[in-house]
Amino acid sequence: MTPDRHGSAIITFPNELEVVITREFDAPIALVFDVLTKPEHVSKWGATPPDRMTECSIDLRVGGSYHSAFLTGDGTVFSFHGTYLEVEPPLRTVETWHFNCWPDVEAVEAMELRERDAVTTFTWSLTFNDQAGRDHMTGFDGQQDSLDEMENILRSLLAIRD
Amino acid sequence: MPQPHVSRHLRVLSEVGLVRCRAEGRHRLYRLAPDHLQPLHTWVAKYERAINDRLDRIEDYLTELQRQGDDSDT
Repeated sequence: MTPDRHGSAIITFPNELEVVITREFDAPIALVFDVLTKPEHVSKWGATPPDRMTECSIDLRVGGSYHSAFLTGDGTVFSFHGTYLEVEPPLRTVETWHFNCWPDVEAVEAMELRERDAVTTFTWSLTFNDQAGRDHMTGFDGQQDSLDEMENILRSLLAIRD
Repeated sequence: MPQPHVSRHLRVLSEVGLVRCRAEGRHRLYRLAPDHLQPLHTWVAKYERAINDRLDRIEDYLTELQRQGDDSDT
């Protein structure tokens, strides 16, 4: 039996506009693609209890749109929507990304899959239109500037290795 | 690492508030500033956890689907 890979996501901030997350799954690429893009699957893993997924629609074609909504335990609604720009099963989708809590933010989300030796690598990136957009990410739960601090630390640590 | 490099890195860390510096004679003494490190640590931990939770749920669901697939094959 394959050991689980819990907690193994790699999160990187390659530049001022992007967040890139990679994660491996012990499953065939076609199955991973379906699980990421079919509402009947996404609705099964989309929400962490006690949150509930209240809407999950995916029109998987270029120009088609998606919309997902979540209701948290304390009654807050989170929703995401966008339009597909590229759809290449089972390798890749690219779509616009809007989040109801950050109405002024525009981003493009890309999901890419590659399979090798029965392991599928999922690369999930968000590219914000401007740094102010991605800075929302750095202000996760109100912690402004933290990411900039982290970048500075990382730069400093990388420079030390040189 | 050459001393000028150490000084440069400590200065960067000082500028972002992660270490504090005080001068003592010719020396500059640096210490960590834990109150500034804590929010950073909290943020990173929270963000990483949220992302990992989501991806772990996908993994669990994939495992379950494949197990069901194996069961129906036999």
